[in-house]
Amino acid sequence: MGSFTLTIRCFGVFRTFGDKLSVSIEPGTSLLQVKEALARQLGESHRSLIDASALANDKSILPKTYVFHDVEDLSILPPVCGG
Amino acid sequence: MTSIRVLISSSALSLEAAVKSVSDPAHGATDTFIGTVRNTHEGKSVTGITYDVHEDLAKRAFHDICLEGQGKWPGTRYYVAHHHGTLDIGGISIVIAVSSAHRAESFAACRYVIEEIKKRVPIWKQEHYLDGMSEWLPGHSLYSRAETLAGSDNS
Repeated sequence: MGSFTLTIRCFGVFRTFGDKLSVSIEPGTSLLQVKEALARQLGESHRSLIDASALANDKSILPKTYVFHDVEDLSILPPVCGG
Repeated sequence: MTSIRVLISSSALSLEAAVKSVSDPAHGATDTFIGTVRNTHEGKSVTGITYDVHEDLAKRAFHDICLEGQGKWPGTRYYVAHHHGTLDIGGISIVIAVSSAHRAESFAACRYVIEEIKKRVPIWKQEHYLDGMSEWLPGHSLYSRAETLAGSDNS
């Protein structure tokens, strides 16, 4: 299987980049590598924000050790401040 | 009669609905918390706040927090509602109600719920200011908690 595209829904401050982001990756790419790709795409000035943000599917937050093998619908969740 | 009710809504939140939801003939205490939009923040004049919410994960997190509350204070009942969208000054952003047989449990559980929500639930605030500018507020990283839990699991 060749490369595929992850679609990442934006929330909070990430909405300044649009409603969704896309990252093209190879099977076996880790979550940290996806974050690295996002930092390259959005710019180094946003690296600390991306580091502090979580990636999640619609059921749970994905651990930093997570590895992507196929297309998934994701969300990027910046630090939270509800209430 | 469910003992936990959570919701995200873009309509006005109701304190009456919250209190009614947790009412129980065996409970003699109901504690409520209402969060409202304040007109200043760090010296800036605020005109309103937009609340962004990941609804599926937020409702799941609300439920988890209430279940934890029931573990700490058995028999407590919970209602948690959060606004999604923009509110003017004085608008109600969150309503929490907790009932219990006696007051101590309700006070403690209601405090627990709001404090955990601020740290764990995927909700974000964009403040709007009198000068026309807007700003997304900083907050708590969801990975801080996930890593803490992972560390606990390993110990």
